[in-house]
Amino acid sequence: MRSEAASPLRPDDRAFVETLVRDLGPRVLAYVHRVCGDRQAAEDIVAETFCRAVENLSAVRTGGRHDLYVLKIARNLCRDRFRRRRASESAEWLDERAASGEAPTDVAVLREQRAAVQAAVDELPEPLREVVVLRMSVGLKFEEIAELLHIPLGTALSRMHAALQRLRSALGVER
Amino acid sequence: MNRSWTRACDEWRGAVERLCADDTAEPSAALAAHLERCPACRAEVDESRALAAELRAALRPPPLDAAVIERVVARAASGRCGRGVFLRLGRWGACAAAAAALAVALRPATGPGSGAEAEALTREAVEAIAATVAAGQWDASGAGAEALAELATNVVETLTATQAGKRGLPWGVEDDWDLPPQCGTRS
Repeated sequence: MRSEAASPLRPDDRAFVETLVRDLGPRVLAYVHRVCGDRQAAEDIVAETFCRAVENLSAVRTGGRHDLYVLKIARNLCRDRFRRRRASESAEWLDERAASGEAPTDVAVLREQRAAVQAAVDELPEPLREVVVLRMSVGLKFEEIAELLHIPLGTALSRMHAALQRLRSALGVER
Repeated sequence: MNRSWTRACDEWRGAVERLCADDTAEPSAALAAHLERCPACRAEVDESRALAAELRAALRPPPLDAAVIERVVARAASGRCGRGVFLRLGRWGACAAAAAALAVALRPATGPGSGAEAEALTREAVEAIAATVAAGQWDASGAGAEALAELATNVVETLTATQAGKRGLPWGVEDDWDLPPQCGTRS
C-alpha cells in the first residue's frame, strides 16, 4: 500500500513517472533481463533505474530522449552490479505470452522456437548480445546504440553482423 | 556453409554486411543490382532479415505487470535510491558501518587489525549487516554480498582519503580481499 503523503513527488510528477515506467519499463526490463541477470534482479535494477531518473526529473522532463537517458542509467547499474551474471530463465516470457490468446499448438511451437532463439542470444558474448537486445528488443536505431554504448556506428553494425552470423550458425539457419 | 562467392562479392562485402546487420536499411540501386545477380549474397541478406524477424518476436518485451509498475513507481517516488539503510545512517555513520561490515563480511586477507577502534567498527558491522538483511538487500545467491562488497569498496575509498580513515582502517582499498565461500561468489 503506497502512501501519497510520504512521496516527495507532486501528483503531476508522480503521474509523469507512472507514464514513464509504463512506457519505458518493459523495454528497460527487457534489456536488463536479457543482458544482465535474472528476472527478479532485473526488476530491482529497473526500480533503481527509475528511482535515479526521478532524482533528475527535470532533466528527464526537458530532455529530448529520456529513453536513452534512462537506458544509460540502467546500463551503468547493470555494469556495476551484474556484469558477470547471465539470464537463466529464457522461457519465462513465453509463459506470459501463452495466456494471450494464441492457439495451444501454435503456442507450443512458438514457445520452442522462441526459447531456442532466446537461448542462442543468451550464449552470445556480452558485447554482441547487448547490441542485439538494444536493437531487437529495445528498438533503438544503430546511431542510438552507438551513442549509448560509446562506440562508433560501424562497430555497432559490425557487432550486429557478427551476432547474426553466430546466431544463424547456432540456430542452423545457414544452408 | 556452402556459398558461391565471386570476386564481385568481395567488393560488396561491406555493404552486404551492413544490410544484413540493419534489417530496416534499403540497398542502394547498385547493391540491389548485385543482389539480383548473386544468389549467395541474396541468400545471406534474406537469411539475416528472416532471423532479425525471429529475434524481434522472441525478444519482444512483454508489458509490465501492474504490481511491478506499482513497485517501481513507489520506489522511484520514495526518493531513496540505492542507499537503503545507509541513507538513514547519514554520511559518516554509513561510512563507518559499511567499512566495518567489510571487516566482518569480507575478511580481508591482510587481517582486520585489532584494538578498540577495530572492535567498535566490528560492533557497527553487525548492526549494519543485520539492517541490510532486514532491508532485503541480502540473498542466498550472493547478489547481496556483491552489492555490499561494492558499497564497502566505495566507502573504503572515501575513508582512506581522509585522516580519520587512515587511522581507523588497517587496510586500504587496494588490498586483496577474499570473500568467504558462504557469502557468495566474487570473481
